[in-house]
Amino acid sequence: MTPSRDIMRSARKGFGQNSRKGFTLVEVMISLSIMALLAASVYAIVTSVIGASRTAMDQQLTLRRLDAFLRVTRGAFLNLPPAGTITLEIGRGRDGQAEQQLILAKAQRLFGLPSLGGGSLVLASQAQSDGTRSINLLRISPNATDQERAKSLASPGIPLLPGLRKPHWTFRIPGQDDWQEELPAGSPRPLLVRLQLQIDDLPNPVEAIFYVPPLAAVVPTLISAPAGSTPPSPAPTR
Amino acid sequence: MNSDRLLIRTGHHGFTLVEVLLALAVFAMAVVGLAKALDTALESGLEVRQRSTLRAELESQLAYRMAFPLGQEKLILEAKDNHGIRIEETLTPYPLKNQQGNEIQNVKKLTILAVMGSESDSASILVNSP
Repeated sequence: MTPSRDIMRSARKGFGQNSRKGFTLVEVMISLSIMALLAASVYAIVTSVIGASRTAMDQQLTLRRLDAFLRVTRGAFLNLPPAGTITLEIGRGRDGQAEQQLILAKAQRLFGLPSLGGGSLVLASQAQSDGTRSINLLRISPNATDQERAKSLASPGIPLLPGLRKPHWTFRIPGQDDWQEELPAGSPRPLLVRLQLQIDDLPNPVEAIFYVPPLAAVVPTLISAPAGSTPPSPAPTR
Repeated sequence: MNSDRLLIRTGHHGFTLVEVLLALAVFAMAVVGLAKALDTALESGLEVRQRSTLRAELESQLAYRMAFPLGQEKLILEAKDNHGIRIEETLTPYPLKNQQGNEIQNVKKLTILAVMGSESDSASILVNSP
């Protein structure tokens, strides 16, 4: 009896006076919708913060991979033994596209792999299923037949640098003026090797130049020359 | 009299301007904090990228100079000609003596400065440059 009378009274008093017993449905709805708006905006901001930090972390990972790849490759060229040779071969990849394969022959102890027992190491670009390419490290054993060689070249190998596009090797050969596209077997050892590529995460293209020491050790000609003497002519290189 | 009481007990009738402003200010502070976090994340990402790109560029440039020594005192490569990185190379004489106290001739210091956006990095080596 009492509650119904209360309701009746409050109803009679009307909304205009805004009863002191609680909130009306409209008020709750309005406050809820405002809360929802605020929550949505906060959510949007937090999402974009998380997305940005994830992008930054991905980029850092890519940069680290690239950095490690460049360091290892730089070391490999610097430590190429005197008998080692560099050649560039064009292979056919999974999708039938041409793939550059840089072959470092007689290349024991390169890439931090001491126990391989010689043979050739190959930096091969390979197409991935997502449309990017990766540079993989392959190995051809020293006395491989042509069949074994082709099989080694088709193997997946160790991925060194994934997620890149348009890897392109060029060479600076002594006596040649410009960067050369080709380095067939039997050509002289290049002085500089250049690798150009694009990585999806990075806005600028990457261009790295590697130094390949000349075959003969350079004799330090001028370091101990006394003042005033004529510098001797540079030592001939093999 | 009635309106006085209403003003004092405003809680039941809605929010005053001051309350709304306070709430907005608190919300704005929270939003500003989040936005700053976003900005910092983006900026540090950019900085890291530029730094490591500069490092790689310096190494490449040093490798290039191993094969082709700099033949002049100063060489500037503008950013637009060099995939977004400005390179400044200078060759300065570097006095260096051997164990007998004689000055070693033709020793020069090659300094390579690479600039990308707001970041810059440099490397220098001693070279034998007649």
